[in-house]
Amino acid sequence: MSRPFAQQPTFDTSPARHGGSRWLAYASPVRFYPLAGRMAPWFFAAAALAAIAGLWVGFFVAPTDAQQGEVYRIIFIHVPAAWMSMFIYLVMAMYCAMALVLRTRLSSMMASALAPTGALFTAIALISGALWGEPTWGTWWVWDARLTSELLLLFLYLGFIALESAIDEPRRAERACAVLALVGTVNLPVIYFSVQWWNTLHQGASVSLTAAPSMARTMLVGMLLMTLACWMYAIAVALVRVRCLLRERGLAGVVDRQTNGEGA
Amino acid sequence: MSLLSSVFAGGHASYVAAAFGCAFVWIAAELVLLRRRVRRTPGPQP
Amino acid sequence: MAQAFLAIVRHDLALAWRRRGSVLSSLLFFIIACSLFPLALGPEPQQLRALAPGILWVAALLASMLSLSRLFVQEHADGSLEQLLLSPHPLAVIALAKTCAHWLTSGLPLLLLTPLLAQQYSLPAGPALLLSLSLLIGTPVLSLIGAVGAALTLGVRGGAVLLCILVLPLCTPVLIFGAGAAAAADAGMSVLPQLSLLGACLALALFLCPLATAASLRIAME
Repeated sequence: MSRPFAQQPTFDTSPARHGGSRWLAYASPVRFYPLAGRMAPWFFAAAALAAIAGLWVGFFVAPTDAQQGEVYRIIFIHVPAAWMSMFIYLVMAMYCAMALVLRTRLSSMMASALAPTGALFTAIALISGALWGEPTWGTWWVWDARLTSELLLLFLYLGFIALESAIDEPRRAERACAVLALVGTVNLPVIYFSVQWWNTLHQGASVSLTAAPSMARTMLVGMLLMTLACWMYAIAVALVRVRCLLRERGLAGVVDRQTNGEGA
Repeated sequence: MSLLSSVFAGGHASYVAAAFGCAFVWIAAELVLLRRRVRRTPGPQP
Repeated sequence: MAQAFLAIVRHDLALAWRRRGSVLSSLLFFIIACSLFPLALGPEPQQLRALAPGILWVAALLASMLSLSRLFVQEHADGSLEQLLLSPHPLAVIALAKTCAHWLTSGLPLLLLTPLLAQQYSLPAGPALLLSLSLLIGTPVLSLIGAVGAALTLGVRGGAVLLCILVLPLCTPVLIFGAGAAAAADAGMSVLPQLSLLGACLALALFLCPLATAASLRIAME
């Protein structure tokens, strides 16, 4: 990677000059913009590789399940999507906390960049869950604790996106969404617990969409590879999207009068 | 719905295909929309 | 600080009394919504009795949502919200006072009406009273969480619907525990677990929501 600080812009106020962390310099949108542009293709490539490996393991290496036959292979998309949907929400919340505490705009923009992808994974988890439920349990929708929590998580994501698009002023939108994400995060354990409680109370021997109790190691490897693929994909898409956000809000990607090229 | 289920009763391959197909289509849609957004936002301006 | 709290509550109650039409209309919505379900589901008493806790709780939830979008609108419109932000009292206490007044004008009338409406569903007196008790503990939580939503969507176009979208998923635990308590009462089981969980939600909300509301108000007024 080329040295990005070969020329010092005259408006440099970053903390990178003090002591240890050069990395804090990347909190500056101007510095982060080209870095994100360079990193994104690598993450896309990693996602593609992991997906190919994961799908190969999932379809050709992992054995046929004794109870569910071939249809259990849906877990190779259902479980990684579900894990990523929850993980992305927590990462969003972390960025939102940083945005409120440190007042960095880049943090809240990373949260906004992650939200659509998180919602997408939640939707994929729900659809694949339904498509797993129909041949296995005979119904298209199962009020399983995890699927219901995923549904509520989808509502939380969509609420975040709706609030952001409803507020016109960007700074207020970023900070309002940050508060919303944090309130949602505090609420999430309560939601999971209450849905779990509700499910066991109403169904007794509940139908559950967890995979067979003894999971073959190859199945686990396949799931982990697919999770890695989803993770790399989420990072790549978030990086591209945050670059768009930076351009849209005029924080980066504009020709600087002092340097002669675009900060790309 | 039950007719549909009985049609696929044998292999269930279509469910797996539908699940993965949905996921790929939606991911592709997200990428297409993202690409349009990248093209749409103004590039370097003086 | 306690005096400021009481002053705000009294002020809001006086305003609500002068405009009692809007208070009564959300109450009327609750009554109408509760009457819709038997029309949709059929008049069979056993079925209605089984569904009563859930239906009444959902209707109470929706009725509370309706009045929440007006929580800060008046202050925002006449400029007194900026004065409140500058006041020496903690903004969280002010937010709590407004939330309290809101609950007194929306949640309290609802739960007083509930035993009457439960008669439409052939719910016996004991479970009906326990349903009211669950609403007593649960509706303040709805007001508290809703206040955060009201502050976040202050002045935003389409704010009322947006408020519902944001707040309803966050209120699902309260719905689950509250309706579960009433259903357990009707089945003759102990309601203590659900009520204590509701109490825990209330304690958590009492502590966190005013702070979040205050933060959201500052963000809205920046």
